[in-house]
Amino acid sequence: MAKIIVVTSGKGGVGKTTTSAAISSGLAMRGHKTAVIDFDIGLRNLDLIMNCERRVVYDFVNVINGEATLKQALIKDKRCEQLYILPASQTRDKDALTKEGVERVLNELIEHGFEYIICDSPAGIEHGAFMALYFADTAIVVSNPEVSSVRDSDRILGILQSKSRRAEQGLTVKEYLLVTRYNPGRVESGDMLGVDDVQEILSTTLLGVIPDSESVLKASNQGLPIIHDKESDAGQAYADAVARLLGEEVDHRFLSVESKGFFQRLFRRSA
Amino acid sequence: MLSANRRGINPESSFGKANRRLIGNVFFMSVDSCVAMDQPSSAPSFRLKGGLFPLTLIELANGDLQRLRTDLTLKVAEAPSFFQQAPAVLSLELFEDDAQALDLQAIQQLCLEFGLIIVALRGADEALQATAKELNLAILANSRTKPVVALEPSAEKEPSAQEEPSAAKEPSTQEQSSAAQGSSDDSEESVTDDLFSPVGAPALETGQPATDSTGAARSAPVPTKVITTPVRSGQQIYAAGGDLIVLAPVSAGAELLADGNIHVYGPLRGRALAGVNGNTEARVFCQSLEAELISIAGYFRVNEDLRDKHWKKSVQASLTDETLNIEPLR
Ligand SMILES: Nc1ncnc2c1ncn2[C@@H]1O[C@H](COP(=O)(O)OP(=O)(O)O)[C@@H](O)[C@H]1O
Ligand SMILES: [Mg+2]
Repeated sequence: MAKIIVVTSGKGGVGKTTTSAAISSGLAMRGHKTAVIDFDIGLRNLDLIMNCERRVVYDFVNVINGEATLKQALIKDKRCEQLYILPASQTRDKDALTKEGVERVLNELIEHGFEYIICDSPAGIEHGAFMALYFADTAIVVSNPEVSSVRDSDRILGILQSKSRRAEQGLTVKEYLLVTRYNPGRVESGDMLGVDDVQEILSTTLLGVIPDSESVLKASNQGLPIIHDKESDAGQAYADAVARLLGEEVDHRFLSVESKGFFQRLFRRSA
Repeated sequence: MLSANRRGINPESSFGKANRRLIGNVFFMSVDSCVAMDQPSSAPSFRLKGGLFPLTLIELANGDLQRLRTDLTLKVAEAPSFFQQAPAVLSLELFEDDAQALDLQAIQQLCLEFGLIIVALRGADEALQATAKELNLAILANSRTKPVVALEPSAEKEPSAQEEPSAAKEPSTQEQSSAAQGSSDDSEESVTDDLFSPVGAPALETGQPATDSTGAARSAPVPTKVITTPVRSGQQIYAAGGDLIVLAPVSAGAELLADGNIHVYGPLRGRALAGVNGNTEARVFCQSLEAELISIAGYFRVNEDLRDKHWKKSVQASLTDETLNIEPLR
């Protein structure tokens, strides 16, 4: 059974695209045929992080409008055999996404044998975000450890469980919380919410905690999904999250200042 | 400084009668909005505010005016206090006859004779809507059709409880309560009885929401609404005519409304408005008081008045002489 996973948050700039790139790459690295779709019409940047922007000919909206076939628009990832990217249009507006159109594309991907379809949601709770989450059966809600981001995540969880297709069918959407840009030092000094606080407020399953890491910025500037950087704590944390998504039990790491990740970073910086 | 207790706009006050017997309620929900004016120098001549008012819903089963007259006569005999210039919504959603043949004006007149003022029409087709327009009636959306997927912009959402004295009666969001995943009721409005019901059932039935304090005969109890999944920010759940039980956390930015009591077996971080029809006997119970606002029959306390020794404790809130009391549960 194919899984449609939306990466969403409500708030912008929390790490949805970073997460979509990492998780989709991670699933493909684990041998699963995966497609990642950029729903951020007009503000596309998944293709940048995936380093395929120079190979974009057709996009998601072209496929919806019947101006290109899905096959023409899908871009094969250079690093992962099993990964395909469906880029967003830079020129259209979000209304180009229709429920029927999105559903058709998703169904076609499933027919082509894709096991995982990752939907990278735009920020906000308007049309584009709604389209990204509507067909999902699983949601990864990305939250930064601060109050406003957590509140937006809460809102998105509510929308997922009341407005999505599964909700309309009387079913629930499987929900996962991914806390990103986590800085244990700032948590200890009280500048940031701890992961326990975030989980207490959102009361949902924790998929992982991704440390705030310079390696993320570096990787995305190079067009490298961070999960390929096996040295970095963030890359390792994403790999753990992928394992949990696949049903494995993996302990959470990088939660405290004493953790290896933090010292490695210190060490690397001074070296 | 905020006083510990303030009076919200009591929906009952607009009818001047505290123990009105309601037949079925429709709530209109909207968000505050100021009228934008072009001239920057002049202040707006008015302000638009969302209100939350109980209205009688008349669900017409057929176009038989004679029968309607008979039924209304019986109804008035049963609960005369109800029919005193009460605003009502005429719904044709259960209408079984040919709506084209319906004499809207005659029905309006007839209802008026009995003290029911029809203010709006619901479930009408286009032709009838045109007639309604001529009669100066508002047109309401059909309750059975779900709101289209439009998600509201986040800017629209503001936790106004802290500044707005009337906030208790103004739900902060327009999102309908389809949020109630645990419940099959997908409408914010629920009608507690079969008014003007189709053949077979008695044509007129006495409503018996929790507000009923007239001591008149009660019919079957209103089912309690039970929610088993978290109530998230922006969601709103309304238990019409009865109690609301939530077996999960209620997030900040979420809103619970009930004509009866509200029970939350989990942290209550959002707003809880019990007895929204004016029932001063209603109570709010919660496992951990962390609420943005608690209101009973329009009397409310906001977050900063709630942060005292009972904060994060199991409490109940009740009303005595227009004072909202919070006491620990033991
Ligand atoms: N774990 C992290 N550590 C440091 N920076 C991060 C991390 N995750 C994301 N970022 C940075 O935050 C910014 C926003 O990330 P992005 O994934 O584009 O967010 P969104 O898609 O939610 O708008 C980017 O500059 C990205 O490099
Ligand atoms: Mg993005």
